[in-house]
Amino acid sequence: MLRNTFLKTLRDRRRSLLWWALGLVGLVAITVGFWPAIEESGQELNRLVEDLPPALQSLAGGDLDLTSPAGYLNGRVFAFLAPILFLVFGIAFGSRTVAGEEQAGTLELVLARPVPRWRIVAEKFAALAVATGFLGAVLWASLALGAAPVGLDIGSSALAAATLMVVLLGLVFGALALFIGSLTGKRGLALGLTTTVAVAMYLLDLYASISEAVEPFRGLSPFYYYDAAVPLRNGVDPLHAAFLVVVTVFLAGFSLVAFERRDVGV
Amino acid sequence: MAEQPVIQTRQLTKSYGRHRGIEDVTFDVTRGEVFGFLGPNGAGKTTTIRLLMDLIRPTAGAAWIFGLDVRAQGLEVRRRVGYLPGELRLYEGMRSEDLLRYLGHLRGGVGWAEVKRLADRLGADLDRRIGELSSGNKQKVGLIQALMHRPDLLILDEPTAGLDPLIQHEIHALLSEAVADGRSVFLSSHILPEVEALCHRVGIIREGRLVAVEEIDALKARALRRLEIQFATAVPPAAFANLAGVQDVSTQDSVVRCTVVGSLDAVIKAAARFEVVNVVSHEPGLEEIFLAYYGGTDAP
Ligand SMILES: Nc1ncnc2c1ncn2[C@@H]1O[C@H](COP(=O)(O)OP(=O)(O)OP(=O)(O)O)[C@@H](O)[C@H]1O
Ligand SMILES: [Mg+2]
Repeated sequence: MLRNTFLKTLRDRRRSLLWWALGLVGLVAITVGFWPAIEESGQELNRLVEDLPPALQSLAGGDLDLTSPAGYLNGRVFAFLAPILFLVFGIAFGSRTVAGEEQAGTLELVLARPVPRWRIVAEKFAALAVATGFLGAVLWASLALGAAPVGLDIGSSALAAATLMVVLLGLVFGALALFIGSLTGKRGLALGLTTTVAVAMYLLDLYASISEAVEPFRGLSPFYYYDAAVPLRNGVDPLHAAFLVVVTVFLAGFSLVAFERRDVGV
Repeated sequence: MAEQPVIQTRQLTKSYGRHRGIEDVTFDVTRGEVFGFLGPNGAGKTTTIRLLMDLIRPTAGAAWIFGLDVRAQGLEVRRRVGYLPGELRLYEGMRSEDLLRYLGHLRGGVGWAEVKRLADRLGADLDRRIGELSSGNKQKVGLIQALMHRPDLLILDEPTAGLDPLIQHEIHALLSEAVADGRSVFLSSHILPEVEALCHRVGIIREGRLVAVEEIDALKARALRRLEIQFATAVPPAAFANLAGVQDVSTQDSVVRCTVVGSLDAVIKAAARFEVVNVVSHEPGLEEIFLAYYGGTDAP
């Protein structure tokens, strides 16, 4: 596990990854556990949501029938909780892995080896991607395994589509944190600024769904491309997924360049 | 043809925004020598060293190691250099052995026998978690990572700062071995005895400027030495006036205090005319050395 910076970075996060995985499994267990009760009292719940103002409806998962399996999973997991968890994970990882280690001073000895700086950042990004992907796989597997016994009837490919999109969303903001950290060397800044951007982007997408004035700017928000409801019903929209991937790759590429050019540890 | 210097800097300059780092630092380090970089806190030692390691980039000027540009050919340079940072920060959660294996892999793998040898030599227990180690033991891990690939050049930023004399001595011995093995060493320090014990030549840096590069012996010869001579009876002040290299003479009853540059010959011969009870000579410290180079002469 110590052959290179990629493996070393994953190894550093092994305990935290375990806890995150357990947390996700717990979330899934609670979600599928409540399904039988929801399925029964379904119609009332739907009426309740219909009475909500549109902004709150979209918070609750948009226009899906909450008592359908897809609507239920969307509302309970993919509309809000899972994106938040993957965002927090990605942002924390992205800001600590370069800027955090730089500020702690531990990167100094790594950079004194005959390894190009861009390569260190590239391996750390790869570790971020693999770790986020791993959590996605945990979410997918526990949902796929947990859904069937309680009669939560949803295809595993629909689940895969939804988890893929959550992973991609987490990676966009993880890569943004990595970029700000690589550019400035300041972990707190990377953490705070990325969180702010994420909240702003979420609100942009939310307002765009209810206000015509904001609507034209909707395409600027990664949350629009994430568009939680759709993957569970229709699978992955390749264009939406591609947009998130391209943004992530660009941010990662900028990180390599930014870190290569500046003074480290000042 | 003259041999290629191990380290070469030309007008190396670094400013941190509006803050001074170093200015116009130019020096050569020749192969097989131990070069001491001596200066008080904030003089620019760490700045110079981090420029050599390409961790920070110069505002002006350039530096070469083994004739390779530290900016453009930094990879090749770092392959052949061992570096000990001034503020050593290790991954606290790792065991020493794991950290050394990781750092070794980043060099494409190093012979573990050498790591073992160094650890035995220093008495370092590699099984412990780094977070549990004392600062002296952390420094040992730092030295092992700097030496483990048997580099041609060691760049060490205050390798013994804050350590007790016993460990200091061990480190000095280890470095002497490395030099006997044909390696070159560039080390910074603000302790004169350390530099005296290890170095062949010394560069003195102060407020970002290199003020002198000297053989260690020449440095001591130029140093101011404070001398205190006690006589059996009171002596006439005139007896010590106008002696070669003797300054700041003060006479107080039977005790004469003065500052001497270089040789003590004149003052000793003057003293010999009276009955001497005791002579106290203070070895020149860093302050005295600096006084020798700035002592009032170019003060504003
Ligand atoms: N990151 C930085 N930002 C601003 N100024 C800096 C920075 N690092 C160093 N300096 C300034 O550059 C000068 C040289 O500092 P440097 O750390 O090189 O000194 P030093 O000789 O290593 O001192 P010490 O013996 O305390 O380690 C100091 O005046 C310091 O204030
Ligand atoms: Mg220093």
